[in-house]
Amino acid sequence: MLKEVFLNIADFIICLRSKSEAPLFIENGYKNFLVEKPFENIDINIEVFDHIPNEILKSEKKKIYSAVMDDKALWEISEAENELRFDIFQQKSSTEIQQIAFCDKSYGNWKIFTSSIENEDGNIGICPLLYPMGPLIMYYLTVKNDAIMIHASGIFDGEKGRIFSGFSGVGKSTMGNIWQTEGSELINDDRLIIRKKKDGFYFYNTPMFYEDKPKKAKLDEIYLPYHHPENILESLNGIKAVASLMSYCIQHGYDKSIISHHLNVISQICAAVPVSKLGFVPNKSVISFLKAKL
Amino acid sequence: MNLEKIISQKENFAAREVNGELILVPVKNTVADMNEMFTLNEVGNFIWQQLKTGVNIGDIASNISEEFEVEKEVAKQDLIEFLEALENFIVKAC
Repeated sequence: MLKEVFLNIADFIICLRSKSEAPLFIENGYKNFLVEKPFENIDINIEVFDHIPNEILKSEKKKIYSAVMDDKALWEISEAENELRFDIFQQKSSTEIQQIAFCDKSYGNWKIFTSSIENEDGNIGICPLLYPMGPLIMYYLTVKNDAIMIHASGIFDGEKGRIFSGFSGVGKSTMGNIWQTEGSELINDDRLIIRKKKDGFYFYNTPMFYEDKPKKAKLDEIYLPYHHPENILESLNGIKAVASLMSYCIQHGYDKSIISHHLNVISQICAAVPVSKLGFVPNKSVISFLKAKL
Repeated sequence: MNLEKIISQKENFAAREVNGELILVPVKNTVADMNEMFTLNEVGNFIWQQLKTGVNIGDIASNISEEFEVEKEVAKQDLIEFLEALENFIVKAC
């Protein structure tokens, strides 16, 4: 029996199809992003299979990129003829394969081979987007469009959409909390997709490990925050703005064309949206400080 | 530094020009390496463009001197400083 589900993430449509008897699990964080079969084009088609065949597990591959944290392999990318292969390791063991995925060079057509798992209700099924597969697909969704994925928190204060971008510890979440406490809508406090639309750039939340509804706002200001004894703002232009945002952009830089894509989109963002370094005091004074700026 | 030495760009970079300046991002094969990038000002960008094909250091210094209207000796010293800083990263000997 064909099972088909659709997700709307950042106004992109992802279709998951499975012919397997096994139930298709969607992680909780994705549930509010499920939509009815849409009329518009599908941006990414994913075919899901309920086991990982041995011949795929053991086949030769040419590794081109790997994600390693604390000497632990998270996932790796290999190149095959006309397609990319993604080996995703189990987060606990880092040696056992959790999923193997293939996508064509357009990044639009995927196959995910995945082992069965037991969900929190004790049911056995397949969960093709189990972390980190989901974020990887979202990343390639941005690579095939005028979009980027970035480490940032973002808020909409009723008038302006503002994002705060930087590495862990600079105050992204703190800033998100301050604005949310004072009545702004928190789009997300960790990871955003910025996407070019006809009337400008928009930023969106993406499915996380917790449940949240899809949110978006038009992008009016970009800040690069850091803790400071007083609130200060320093405008960044040209190459400095582009280089800063590039640093915080999520990127798999094994391919010159992917890096060029990011540089191109970021250059367009920096030409359209003000970028500033923001030294801030972690309390609500930063809100009135920024709102007072024209 | 030998002014007759022929040098050129390393190939494994994506480049983007912004208002006359240049950002260079290296192609890498691990996530951990991704924060390394180079930004070059207008003169650095001019040098980078010269390095598209193999060219000797003395000729680049002459071209800088002509383009930016500086003494050749000044251009040469600045170029040597630039190359010493970046030689192992973005420039290769031919």
